[in-house]
Amino acid sequence: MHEYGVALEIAQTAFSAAGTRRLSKVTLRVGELSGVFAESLAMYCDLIFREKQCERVEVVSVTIPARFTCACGAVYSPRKLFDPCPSCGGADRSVIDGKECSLESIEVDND
Amino acid sequence: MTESIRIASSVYAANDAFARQNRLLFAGKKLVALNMISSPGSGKTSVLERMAARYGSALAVITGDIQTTFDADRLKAAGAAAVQIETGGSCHLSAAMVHKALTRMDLDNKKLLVIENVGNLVCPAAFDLGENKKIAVLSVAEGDEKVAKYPALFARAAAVIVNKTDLLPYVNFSVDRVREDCLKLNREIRMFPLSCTTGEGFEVWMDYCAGLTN
Repeated sequence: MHEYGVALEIAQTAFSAAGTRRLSKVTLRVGELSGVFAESLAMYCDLIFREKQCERVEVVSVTIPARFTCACGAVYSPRKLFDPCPSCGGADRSVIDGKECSLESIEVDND
Repeated sequence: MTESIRIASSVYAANDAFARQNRLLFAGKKLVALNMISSPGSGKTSVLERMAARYGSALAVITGDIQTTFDADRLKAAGAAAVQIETGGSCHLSAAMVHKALTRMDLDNKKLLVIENVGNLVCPAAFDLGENKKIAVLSVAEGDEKVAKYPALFARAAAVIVNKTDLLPYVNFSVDRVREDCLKLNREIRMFPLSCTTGEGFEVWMDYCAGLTN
């Protein structure tokens, strides 16, 4: 729902880091628990880059699976988000991975 | 020649920085802050109106909607100190929006601050506003499958208000199912079935709030 705003922020950061060089690729990391729909984010990034820079910028989105530590000590990736711990059935967990949403890296052409 | 540049910039970093500032401000004012999240029409403002009748101006509310000041107007009329944020299209409140709204409020002599988020069960759950607790509100007219369908909010909420219980005889809604689904996600979650129309169950919710602010 809010992916357009997130995409605008990412584009701004990417262009600012690229400076006068041509941006050719951006790599995003989108966690399954981030509240951001990766496919939609990539689509908006693509649209914004096309609008701001005539040539195409490749958008790569890496999905970071959700990973929890349970109070029982088990570390698990749920089959469905928020499924209980497969070892003890509990829900007392803390997030290890999956909340992040970041612009990981960019590629620029120096020519 | 192509050059790769590592950026590692979190899109939530700016929000989290404002959330930390908000949290410090709340702590400095000895204020308990609740982030109230629900679908549109669950009755958040009605719950707050009843709370305002008890707390009066010791209750501060920041209320978010796409547009209109209806909610802030209702809450001011009920006696609370209220500020409206019109998001102009954004589906959730951000910590920066709340930070800005806080500059428009006098937080002295307040006990409780409730941030009434934009009506939406999805996006608001992902944004830290600096609150002490997230409170989910669900009304019985929405159906009892909402917890299973939108787990992110209920996994993070400290409490869930099940509102409009006076309508239970007329709708297919199992409070027990909601309780079971909530506990599967979050063992610590507290449940408060209540009706803003009849007042049934409201005292239990007020006792919980009193426990937070005392």
